[in-house]
Amino acid sequence: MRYSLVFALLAGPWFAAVGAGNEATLLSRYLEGLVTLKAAFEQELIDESGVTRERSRGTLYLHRPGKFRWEYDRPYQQSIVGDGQRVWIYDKDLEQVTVKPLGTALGSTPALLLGGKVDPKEEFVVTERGEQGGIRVLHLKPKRDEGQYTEIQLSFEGSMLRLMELRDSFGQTTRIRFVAQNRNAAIEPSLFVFTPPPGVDVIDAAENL
Amino acid sequence: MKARHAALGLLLLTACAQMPVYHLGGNAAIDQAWQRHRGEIDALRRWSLHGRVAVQTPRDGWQAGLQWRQAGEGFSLRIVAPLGQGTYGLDGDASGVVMRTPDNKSLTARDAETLLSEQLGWTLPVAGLHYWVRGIPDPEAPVSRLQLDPLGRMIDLEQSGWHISVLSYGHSGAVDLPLKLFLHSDQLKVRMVVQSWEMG
Repeated sequence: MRYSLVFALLAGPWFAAVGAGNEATLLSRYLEGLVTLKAAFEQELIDESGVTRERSRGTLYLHRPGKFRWEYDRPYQQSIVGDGQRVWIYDKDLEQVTVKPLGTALGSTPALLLGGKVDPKEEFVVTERGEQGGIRVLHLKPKRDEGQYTEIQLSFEGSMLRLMELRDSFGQTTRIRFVAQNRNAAIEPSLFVFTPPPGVDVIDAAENL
Repeated sequence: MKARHAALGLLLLTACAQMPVYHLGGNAAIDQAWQRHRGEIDALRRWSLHGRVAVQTPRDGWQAGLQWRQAGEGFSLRIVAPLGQGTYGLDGDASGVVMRTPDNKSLTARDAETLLSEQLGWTLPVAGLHYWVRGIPDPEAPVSRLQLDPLGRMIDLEQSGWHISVLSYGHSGAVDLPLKLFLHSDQLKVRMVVQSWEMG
């Protein structure tokens, strides 16, 4: 379920400004000129003893900056839609939609990243872990330990981001593999608008502020 | 085409509405099936579930992934909040509970109800929930209402100020366990879907 940071990393406007150095070049090369992205993904939640607890898959749509849609279709249907201002989380089985302002929903660290006001080099120590079989691995370690992730690993093949791994304070790893990517293809704008289906409960945090 | 779908929908709705509902003491065969089912469920000492949960409080609401491991009195819950808000842990047994927040703080209390109430301003009857989630009432508390389906499984329960509806069941080994539950009290709505049950 920890897709937001992924979103923040991908959709945040800061990547281009990551700075000089080999580590940054991998990222900036990937994000240079990236406006839209459509990517199929497979996600695994691996617990601290190495056991896979959940496998899911779906499609990610991005429109930088600020708009995204994570569409999970298996094993359950869930949509997470960021329309630029708010994030809509809809779980079909739970019959509930939760709406949050983008900043609140993303928590402090991703919000900082999203806002693009903070230099990520102030937030993360970025190191390149070398190349193996054409895959180059970047390691991001938060400088402050109040974040939700103890480390993030990005694997690139050529200029393609293939794998993103996020490890949390419980030792659990969320591994997201991008299996097919389509850069800068036309994406239907309505995908970044969410209209709650009839009959579901809509919990709008913004209304309660 | 549309009309046909509508007709089918209506048919299903009618079928649901007509599914017989039994009260305890109404039908000897179903009572017997219920007692056997309840006994089997109650005998499960070690189990775990993996699913999702949605909560609505008077002020707000949220959705999260849920992993729940139970061994006798001991339990370990992981609540994986969406959108990068991290993982919460709730571990406990008869002697007390510990909550772990995403930023690695540990909070303790004598029971989960107290801890949630102190930290979140609302609480869940965790003691009862560990029975309800398996589709049986808490044996320690009086039952206000209990409804069974034709297979002798609980579909509706009122207990400890909560209304529990089991919307679907699945087989796990030899027993039937809930896959979807909606619960509500005066203050809260809780919805759970279970992706998988594991025994032992």
